[in-house]
Formats: sequence, C-alpha cells, structure tokens
Amino acid sequence: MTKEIDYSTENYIPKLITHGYISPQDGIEVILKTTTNPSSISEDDRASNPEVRIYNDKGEYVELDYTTNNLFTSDSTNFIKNDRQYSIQAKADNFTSISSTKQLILATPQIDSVSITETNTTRAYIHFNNNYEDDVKFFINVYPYNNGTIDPIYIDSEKFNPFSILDNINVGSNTVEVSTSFYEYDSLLVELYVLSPDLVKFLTSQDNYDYSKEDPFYPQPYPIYSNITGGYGIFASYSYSSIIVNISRKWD
Amino acid sequence: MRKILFTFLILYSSLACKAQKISIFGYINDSTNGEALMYSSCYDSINSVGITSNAMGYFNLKVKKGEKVALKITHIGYSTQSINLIPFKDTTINIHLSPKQEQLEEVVVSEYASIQKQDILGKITVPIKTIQSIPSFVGIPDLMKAITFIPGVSGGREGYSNIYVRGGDRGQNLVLLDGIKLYNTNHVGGFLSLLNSDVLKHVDVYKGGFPARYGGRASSIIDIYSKDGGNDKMHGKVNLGILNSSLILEGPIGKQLTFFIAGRTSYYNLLNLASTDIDDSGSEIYKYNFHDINSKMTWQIHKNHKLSLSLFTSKDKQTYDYTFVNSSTRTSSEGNGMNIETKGASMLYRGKISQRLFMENLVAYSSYNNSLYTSNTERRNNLQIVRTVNSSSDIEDYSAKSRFDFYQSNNYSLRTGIEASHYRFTPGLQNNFYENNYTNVLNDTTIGFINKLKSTEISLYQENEIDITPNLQINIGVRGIGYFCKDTSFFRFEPRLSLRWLAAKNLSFKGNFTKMNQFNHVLVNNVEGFEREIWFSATKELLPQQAQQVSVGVFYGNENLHLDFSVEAFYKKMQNLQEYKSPVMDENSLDNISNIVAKNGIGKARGFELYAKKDFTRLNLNLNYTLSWSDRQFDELNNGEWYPFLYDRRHDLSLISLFNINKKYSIGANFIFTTGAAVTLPVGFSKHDDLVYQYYIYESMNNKRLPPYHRLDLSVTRKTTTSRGNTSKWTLNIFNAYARQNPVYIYYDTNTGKVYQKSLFSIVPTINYSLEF
Repeated sequence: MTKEIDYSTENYIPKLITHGYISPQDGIEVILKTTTNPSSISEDDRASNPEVRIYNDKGEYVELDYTTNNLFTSDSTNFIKNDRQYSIQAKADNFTSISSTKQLILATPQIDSVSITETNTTRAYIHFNNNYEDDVKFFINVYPYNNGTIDPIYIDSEKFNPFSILDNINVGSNTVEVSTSFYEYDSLLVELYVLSPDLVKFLTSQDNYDYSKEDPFYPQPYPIYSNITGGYGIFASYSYSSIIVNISRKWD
Repeated sequence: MRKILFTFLILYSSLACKAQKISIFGYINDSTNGEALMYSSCYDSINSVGITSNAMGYFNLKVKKGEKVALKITHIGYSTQSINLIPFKDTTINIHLSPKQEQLEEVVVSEYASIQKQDILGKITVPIKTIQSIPSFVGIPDLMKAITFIPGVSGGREGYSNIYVRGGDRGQNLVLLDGIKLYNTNHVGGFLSLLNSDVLKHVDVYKGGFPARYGGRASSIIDIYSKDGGNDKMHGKVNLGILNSSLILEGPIGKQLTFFIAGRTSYYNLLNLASTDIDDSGSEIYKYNFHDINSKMTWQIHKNHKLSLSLFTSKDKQTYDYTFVNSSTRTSSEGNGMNIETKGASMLYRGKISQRLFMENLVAYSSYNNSLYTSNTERRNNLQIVRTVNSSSDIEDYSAKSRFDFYQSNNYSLRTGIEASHYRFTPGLQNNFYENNYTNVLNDTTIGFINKLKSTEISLYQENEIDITPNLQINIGVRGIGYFCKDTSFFRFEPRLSLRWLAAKNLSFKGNFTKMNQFNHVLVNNVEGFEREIWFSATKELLPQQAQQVSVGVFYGNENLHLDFSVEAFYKKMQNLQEYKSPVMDENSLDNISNIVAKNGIGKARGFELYAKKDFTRLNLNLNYTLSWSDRQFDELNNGEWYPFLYDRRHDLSLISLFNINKKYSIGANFIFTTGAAVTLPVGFSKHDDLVYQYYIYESMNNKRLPPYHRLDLSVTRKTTTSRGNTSKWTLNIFNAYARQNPVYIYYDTNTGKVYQKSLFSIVPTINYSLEF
C-alpha cells in the first residue's frame, strides 16, 4: 500500500551546488545553482548574483562568464596548464561561499592504435600509453561516426556516464577492450579519458547511488560524493584524446 | 587480590561445612505425560530457602534434620503443589504437577517465578501457552514475535520475525533448539518464524546476565527445548490455517521410549493455482512453499539417565517461471528462484552420577544454506542457448559439549564444562553457465572460493552459584575461549557476574556485568523484501565482535496481589561490529568480504525497561515499556561520525491483555506503540543540469525518523470439548485491527516531486482451527 504523505523536510537549509569540470581539451565548464527542498523539487534553483572563480596553485584566477541554464564558462584557455592544480570558489547572495579541493590537470592520454576484431561479437582494442598513478581511472566513449558527425542519439545528456568507468585495464596494462555493435556506420570516434581521483569518486558514488535507490529495503541510500566545502557537488579535472577509426568492412 | 581470594576460600570452606544437613530430592514431572519440568521452583517457605530444578526436573534441597519444612513447588502453567514434612533422613519425593487446564492461564510473557526471587537479572522464561494465546500475525503463533514483547527486545521491521536485543544486531542472538545452533529462524524471507510453537517445551531468553555456560553471541541467548513426547498415550494435534497447516503426533514406544514428530507446510501454491496464467502464448507461474519438520526421540535408559535425539529440517522454496511461445518452432523462457534450507540434529545425554553430580553431553550439527538462481533459455528449431546464474551462501556447524553440574549444598552449586565447534563458512559462491549448441560454446565457471573458510572454537567455563546469605545470591563465572581460523587465532576471557539481594519479602535488587565475544559475523541481504543471511568468520581484518554489558534492576512481586513490577537499567558497549559499506548487491558476497565491509565499528546502547503484570480473576494485563538509545560508529561510514542504529527505538511500549469470558470463550488484545524507525532522508535536491543528472543530497545516516508505529491486534478463541473428549479450538485473529498504515519506508518520487510512504499490511483477519486428540 502506497500513499502520499505530508513529510516536509524540517530545518531545510538551502546551499549552493556546483558541478564543474576542467580539462585542457574542453576548458572550464561549471554549473552553479542552489539546492531545492527535497519535498518541493520543482522550486527554482537559480542563485542570485552568482560569482565563480577558478584559482590555480599560484593564486591566480579567472572569473567565469554566465552563459545559460546556470552554466559558467571561460575563454581563457591559456590559463589551464598540465601538472598545475586548480580549485573553484563561488558565491551568491544569501548563501555561504563554497570552495573545492585542488585538482591536478592530468597528462593527456596518448592513443597508439585501435584494432577491431570480429568473432562472436565485434570488439575494439584501444592501445595507449598508461603512465598514470593507480588512483587515476579511465573512461571511454566509442561513437559511431557517419559522414563526419556523431549520431545525436548516441550522445548522453550528461558529461560522463558512471557505468563506463574502467576500473582497470581489461587487456594488459595498456589496452582497453570494448564491445561494439555499430553495424551501419563507416567509422568510429574513440575518446579515451583519464579522470582525476575526485571525479572517479563522484562517478562511482553516482553508480552506487543509483543502485541503492532501486532497493527501498536497503536502509542506506548511497550519498553522492562531494569535494565542495560550504555546499555540495564536485569540481574535478580530466583529460582526453580522441581518434577516428575507419571501418573497412561492412557487417551483415 | 590475595585478600579477595582468601575471603573467597574462607567463604567456600564455610559453605562446605554447612553441608551436614540432610537432603530432600527427587524429580518434578508433568502428571499427565511424565515430561520432566525443567527449572521448576522448589521453595521452603518456613526456612526461606529454595532451589530450582535442573534440566531433568531434578531438585536437591538441603534442610535441617528434624525441623518442619513447608515445600511449595511451582511451575508456570501448572497448579502449585504444597508439601509439609519433618524429615529425619535423606528423603526422596517425586512430584507430579498438574497443568492448569480449567483455570485462568497466565497469558503474558512474564517472569517465571516470583519476579523478585529470580536469580538471574535479564533472564525471562517465556510461558509456552502465552505464545499460543496472544493474537498473532496471519493466525500462526510465533515464538520470535512473542519475544519482541519483552522489554528491551525490539522487533525490527513490521511483519518480520527478527529480534534486536538491547541495541544489538539480529546476528548477535544465539538461538539454541535442543542444543542445535540455529543460523536462521525465519520462513518466507522473515515474515514467519520457523520455530513451530506446538513443539516447544521450555524457552529461556537471556538479554543480560549471561551465565558462563553460554557463549558465542554478543547480545542474547534464546535457549529452546522441545517436548520429549508424553509417556502416557499416543496423542496429537492438528492445526488448520489459511496459509499453513500442521500436525503433531507424540507418545510412547514401549516403556522407555517416547517420541514426537511435528510438521508444518504452506499451501500458497494451491491457492495461487487459480490465478496462474497459462495459455497458448505461454505461461507465467509463481510458486512459494515452505515446510518444517521437528522430531525427537527420548530414551529413558534409567530414571537417572536419559538420551534424546532431535532432528530438525526446514525449507523455503520460491520459483518464478515465464515461458513465451513466439511460434511453433521458437520459444523463450526465463525463471528465477530462491531456496533456503536450515537443518539440525543433536544427541543429548543427561545423567545423574550421584545425588550431587549431574552430567550432560551433547553432539550437534547445524547448517544453513540459501541460494538464488536465474535462468534464460531460447529455443529456435534445433538451436538452443541456455544461460543460468546460481549463487549460494552457507554455513555448517559441528559442535560437541560436555558439562557437569555439582550441587554442593543449597548455598553453593558449580557448573563446569567444555565446548568445541567446528565451522565451515561459504559466504558466497556463484556459478555462471552458458551453452550455445549452434556455436558449440560452453562456459561453466564458479567463482567466490576466496571466502571459503574453516575454523574451530573451543571454550572452557566454570560457573558458581553461591548464596552468601539467605538474601544475597551471587552467580560468578568465567569463560575462556580459543578461536582458530586459517593463520589467525584469538584467545578471549569472559568474566560473568550476577548479584541478587532480597531486600524484603517482596522486593529485590539485582545487578550484573557480562562480557561476550562473537566469532561469527552476519550480513543481511534484503532482496525485494526477502531477507537472507550471509555468515562469515572473524579474521585478522574482521575482528571478533565483543560486548560488555552492565545492568541493574529493582523487582517487586506480590503473590497475594498477583502483581509483578520491575525497572531495569542497562548500558552496553560493542566493539568490532561489521556492516556493509556499499549498496548491498548479491555479488558482494563473492568479493573479498573485507573489501565490502565497513570494518570493526563500535556501538553503544543504554536504556530503561519497565515491566508490570497484574492478574485479576478473569483478566490478565501486562505492560512493557523500554526507553533506549542505540548508536553506531564506523570509520568508513557517515564520515566517521556516530549515527543512530537502524533499529534504535526511543520508546517501545506494548500492552497485552487476555480476558476469559468463560471456559469456552476468551478475548485477547495487544497494543503496540514504538518510535518510528531511524531512516536516512535527503537534506536537499540537485535538479538535472547540463553536466550531471538529478540526485538527492544526503548528509548523515539515519538522520530522520519514520512516523510512529502503532497497531492493535485482537483475537477471539472458542474452546470446546468434543464428544470423544478431545479439545477443539477456533481462533479468529485480527492483525492491525484499526488498519493503521505503518510505513516500512518513505520515498521521494522525482516524477511527481511528492513524498510517499509504503506500508505492507492493513487489517489482516485470519481464522484457525485446531484439534487435540
């Protein structure tokens, strides 16, 4: 038996949330918004007079520009350097300021080659240089590519799908194996990401959160990881490289 | 320390010197079937001395030669017998007590004898008739649910037969059935107890003050003895209910052998047959069945020597099969299922070596296994692809015990013994099978052997019961344990101390301190409401659980007023608790367990318990109330902060009553009120944005409470005697009489943006019929 109940969240205190990524390839993208009351989730989540800055480990910063839908970006691509650390600071009217832990910009992964085999299933093997620390994990996107464009139906609405984190390298230490089933396309776009440890924790917690949500008898929902002080969310770094592979053989 | 030892030796010597009195000894039995009445009270009201009979019903009371003695022999559910005599030499008296057939039976979970005279604080004997008298869930009397009425015992989720004692976890309860350790006490995923109330003879529940003879669990002991089977004539009982039925037969085989056998089975499959969907396009069949069988054979070798063999088996089986016929040559089918099996056997010898010395030897086997499977088969002409996944978890326990009870005098008795158990743990195995006869691919892989483990536990104990003065009794004991597992061993020492001071005729003060160790851990997986337990051993990483408990209490009992009242306070500390640190998935048990468990947490529980019982001529009332706090702390959970235990209940109140209208009709009513369960609810919501999908924000574990839980259960019983002299009984049970929708959980729906609660049960009326023949 299910019934709606009046269970307003007592002592609800709104806070700022940020979801921000920094990478040498895509630059900086940051969402800054407010929480909404869990009992009233349709509330507006825009913060008033928001201000977002990204600091590097020398104390230099850039101020991000508001675009739309709570999204902030920056044109200062020269600001992002490999092996340097960055953090976010943000504020808005009537809210406590928030800040993040420092994020190291990771070296861009180098894809050596991609090979495709077909036995019972079609598999792509991506060979690359793996010189990263153990807590760095990988993420891979393989898109069917036709006439130079990605079919939009294959593009997720979120930046990363938490199910696609590669906990370890499947084949040897420098090779990832991916099953594909893109029959009607003439090429594949392969993207190989390296993710900062905080981003890995965030995505892993999203995966666990989804699972714990499915079983109401499990008493503890898994909390989404946050590296933000004073609020919630994530500010994390990643780096990636991509390669287009022509498919020489058409499948049946 | 030397002074204490010296004082103890002087005390012991003086007690030994007093042993020049004479003995009144004998056995206390049920007058109708000869069953020994264990733990009966034998009390001399003139000299204010008393003793409790042992497990064979034997008592040995020391009295002064040539002085008048007024013995009062009591056993709950039986008429009290009084005997006056002036003994001049050792005297044998065998006492036969008659059941209170036509009188008002005591109907509530209550103390065994006069409450203030009970020697052990924290021990409660559950009257067997109570379990069958109180209104029950779906009309099936349930021992475990009856135990939840005891102050300090919480029942967990609605409908489940789990118990949580004084802030402890469910896996911290040692449940013994004729010496068999039960690793599972549930049917139907937890909604029914697998202990058939018709086979019970005696049930002791210890929530504190554990005597040294018990060990291996951190929170409670539930010591259950089944019937021996009467020696008078063959008789039995049949129960017919809407969900299950049972049959019990018992009686003598010759002069020295008695037996009983009892079986229960459900028939949900039959009821469900009508709704089963089968037609040309395929079929969809859901089945659930459970059964259990208890049996016991007792050989009275001699009046002083008895041998019993107990066997127990229980099984739950659930299957779901779905077949879809695409065409005459193409079908696909899938299915899933669950099996849970609990088995046990024990052989117990009890013997009287001399008037003062008794011996008890036991060998026992116990096993618990649960398994899940999913299967998928596709057929197309001659092509067949089969995929199956089977996962299982089990534990086996081989135990042997030997114990000696030495009754030096009325003032001193000693129990000493040795126990050994060998465990085989298989927390999780998974078999993946794939066969494709077109491509000739066959894959048959089993994983999860990494957690298989064998271990051995050996314990030695000594327990001393001393009456320092007629009003001051002390039970002091110690238990030493060695646990050997793979490349690790643990040695533990457990002091036990219990005191009772009879301050006045009707008033006593009690206190105790106990330390317990537990070398087996349990995690519970709840798959869509059905619970299954994963047992695993303590290791170097997952240290043995420990609990220290102190409790004190004031007890008032007035036999003339038929009134018992007590207040107890307790404080319990627990170490090395284990808990899942990630969402519970079946495959968790296949991983290295130390990777998925939040290790070696600590807990504390404290509270006050109030118990009151008043018997009027036709009405019995019992009030139980607990005010308690129970918290946990794990370095790997909740950012290392303390949080309320899931089953922390600030207030837990129950009121139980039985009104006997006349000899035919009685009405029972239970009212229960508890604080809502601790629950983790969000403190905010993050809407879907361009980078991250929407999610609720959680800060701390168990930060909120569900609405309070309350419920009223009613029962009406009509008892008659048939023309053949048999007793028949109709019982109408109404569970949750005012249809309160108690929430089991609350969830937030992101589609509607609203909050909902889920309840499992509304009003549940059931009717049962039983016939004793």
